[in-house]
Amino acid sequence: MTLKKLIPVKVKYKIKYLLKRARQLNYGKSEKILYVLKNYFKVKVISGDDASEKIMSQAKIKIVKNDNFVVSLDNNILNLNPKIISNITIDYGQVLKYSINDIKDRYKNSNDSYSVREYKFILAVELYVNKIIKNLKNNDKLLIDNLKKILNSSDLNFHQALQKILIFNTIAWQIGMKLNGFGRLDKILDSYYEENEFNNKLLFEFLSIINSNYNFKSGELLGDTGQIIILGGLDENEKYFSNKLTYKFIETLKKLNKPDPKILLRVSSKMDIKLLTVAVECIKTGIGSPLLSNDDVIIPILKNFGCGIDSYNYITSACWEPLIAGMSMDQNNICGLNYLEPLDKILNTNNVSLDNLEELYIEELKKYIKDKVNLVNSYIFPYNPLLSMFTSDCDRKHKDVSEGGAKYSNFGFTTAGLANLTNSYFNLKKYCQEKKIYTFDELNEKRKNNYSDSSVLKLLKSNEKKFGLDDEEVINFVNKVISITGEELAKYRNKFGGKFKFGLSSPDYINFSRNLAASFDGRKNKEPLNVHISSNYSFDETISFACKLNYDGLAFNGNVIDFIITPDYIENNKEKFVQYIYKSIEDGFFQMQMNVVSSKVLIDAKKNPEQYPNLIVRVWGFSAYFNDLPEDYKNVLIERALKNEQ
Amino acid sequence: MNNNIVVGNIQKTCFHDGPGIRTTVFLKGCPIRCPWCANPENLSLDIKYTCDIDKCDYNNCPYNLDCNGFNSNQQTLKKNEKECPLNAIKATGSTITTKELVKQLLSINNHDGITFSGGDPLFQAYALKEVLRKLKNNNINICIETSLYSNPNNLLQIIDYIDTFIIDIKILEEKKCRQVLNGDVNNFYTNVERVFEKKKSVIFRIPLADNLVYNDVNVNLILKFLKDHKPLKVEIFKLHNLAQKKYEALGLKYNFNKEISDIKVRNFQNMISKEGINVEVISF
Repeated sequence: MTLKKLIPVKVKYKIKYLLKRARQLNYGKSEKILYVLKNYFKVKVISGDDASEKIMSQAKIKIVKNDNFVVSLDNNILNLNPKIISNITIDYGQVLKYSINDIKDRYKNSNDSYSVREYKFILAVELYVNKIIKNLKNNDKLLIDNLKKILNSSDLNFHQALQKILIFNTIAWQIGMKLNGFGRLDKILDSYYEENEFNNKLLFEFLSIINSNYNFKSGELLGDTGQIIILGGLDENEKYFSNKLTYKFIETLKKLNKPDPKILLRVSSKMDIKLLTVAVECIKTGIGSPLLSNDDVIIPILKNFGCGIDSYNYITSACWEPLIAGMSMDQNNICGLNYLEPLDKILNTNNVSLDNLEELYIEELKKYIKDKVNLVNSYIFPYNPLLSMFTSDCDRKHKDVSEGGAKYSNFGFTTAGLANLTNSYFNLKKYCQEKKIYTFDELNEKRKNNYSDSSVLKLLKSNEKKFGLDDEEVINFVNKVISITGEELAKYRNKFGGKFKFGLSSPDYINFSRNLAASFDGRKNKEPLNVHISSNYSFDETISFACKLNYDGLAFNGNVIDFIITPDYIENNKEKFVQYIYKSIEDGFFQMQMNVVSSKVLIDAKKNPEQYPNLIVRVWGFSAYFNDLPEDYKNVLIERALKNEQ
Repeated sequence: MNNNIVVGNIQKTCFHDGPGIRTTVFLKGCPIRCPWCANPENLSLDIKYTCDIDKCDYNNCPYNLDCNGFNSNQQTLKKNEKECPLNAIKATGSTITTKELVKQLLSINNHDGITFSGGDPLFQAYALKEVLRKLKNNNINICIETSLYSNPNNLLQIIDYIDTFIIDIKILEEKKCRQVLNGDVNNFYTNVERVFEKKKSVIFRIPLADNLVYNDVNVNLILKFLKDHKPLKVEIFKLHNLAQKKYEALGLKYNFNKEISDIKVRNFQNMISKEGINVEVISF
């Protein structure tokens, strides 16, 4: 037995957490060790079935406030089980509908284990809010009054509604949930909001305070918080919903000019082009938000998947993966699939040739998918009383979300490497099969040698048939892989009886490549995989291509076209650019995000970070300060920006 | 009729070539020679072949083609265009039937219309007429970008099919026009009158070549001309030297070397605006 295995789990967990904090502070090796030692005893790790309740009871009150809002988050108390259902949004519509007293009443007379757990948890929440009240000073009278109102009443004004959302959002972070979104706040707050100066000030302060505890909320990369606000969208009558708040949220976020929180705007050919113009103005600032999500494509797919009328109320996980607000525990990032991994595996066997490559690959891909399904079905999730009390049908079934209590309990895979697989296929076809420049074995040998001869790389990269080209053959190939993946996943159900879905956008384009050998697309050992749906073609070519992919069936777990564009380009073509995006909605893109920045700025920012403290970029599904990114992420962005400007 | 037509290239998603989002067809051949031309590859009807040195820097093809890369003559490049594994050889256009062009254009549908540019599309007016007739049968909005220096008979072939004219105004002094552009400004005037007689939508576009287009005499002529021919709008733009690489690849001399100042652009904009004409400074 190794020494590492003898270390208790709690100790390892604490150290891991403190190391992450030290990394965020950019500490060197010795500083990291000192930091861990200094803070080790300050951090408390909680385990067990009642971990959430215990955390709420034991968390220290650490006030963060501005003029009109208060939150508290103790970053020294952790939930030991990282598999707590996360990357999901509490239904704040339900949060506002019921006072804490109402929720207590819901459970207090039931004796089943679910209700008892929920009751204990809401009591702990009540205690926690009271502790915040006690920690506030006399001159915080307005804050205190608002918190008291939240405890006892559901008749709230706009100010109190925002405060209540903040309290429950912070509770989610406190009990160990990660990547906590906010849902459709324009719709949820519709009846609370009146446009006036004070309410607009409240909105700014609300978004500002969400930005607090940025490091604690971030994952491995600073900025990866999942604090996403969903705006706009088709309603059940197929009419586009937007209100004054839809515009106000976008305008206020633009004014805030921070990477977090972020916005996803549900778009449709039925929307007012004025709203799209406001969104493009915000995107133009470079904050990477809003991401555009096309209801005209997504809602029919959700309906076919089995979500019926609920489809109109879709939100997304932290980045872009659709799920139904308040009804779903869908774990949409439960696992990543790397399309190059099965290829890599068969290329290392002896019996592979150009003739049997496709057949062997499909077989291996199916095995790979099966293994991943089995892996995620072995996961055990701890109770999540917070999410359960606001998710239908948990109360009806008396079951926690972790036991399959929710109306929808599906799992989602994200995928990376499809572009690299596609380009590999077309290179083999052209150079080994058609032009016979190399035999398959010769090219495979060169690949294994990491393309030490640069002329081969030049050849492989010169193929004009690539992922992202609006070409029938390319589109057919990509759709074939999508279809095989979908058909395979359709064979399985998860442990709750839910389905598996998948999407073509993944945060793993760098992680997956770290131990991955060179590939036939001309990618060398360890070089990153292609980012989401992106290419070296012009953005309109990539969009035309993406509009022709087949997302029906199960391929709807986030499909984001990702491109880089210069601010000047949008500025010089503003009106036409908006018209073009609008037209592309009709053409049927799935989702779209943009980095509005020039390569010149990125290169200079890498050299002189002190001159660009506020430069924001879009990373995978989130925005971050460029200076906070690891070097490999900076390099991917610079390389893509350079290619885009060619 | 099934004429051939010589096409430079087809570009999707164009923002500056007419109303809405356009697909632009660059036709080869132009009657005049502007020293600042940004599309020198489309001046002549001849199809030329170039080798992209960024893709192929070989003197002898490593892939057994009878080719000396960028040192090859036109015949060799033409022979190897489709064979080059590095995709380094590019043709400046292709000759296709009008039927084939129509088929290609009808397969593109994510635009608000099609714009014909060049070169100058009037240079191939007789073949273009066939294309336009079929596109109009499919209710496609047609725009044309032209200098209107072609023979007026060419304009008559196509005028009825055009929804919007984007017309360049360049050098209006007769002698200078002939000297610098090798153009007959009287053709321009005759053609403009026809376009206005037919009450077509007109956008004038003025490339601000310092000294050549932007000089006291020519500016006054342009302003006088605009008073008599009020368009939907006037677009003025600075010239850039982004075409330098194209000239080098074609072995042509590039005579543009001076960008006009922002002050002059603003002055000119104000002068046009004072005439009550909608004027916009555009950049590509």
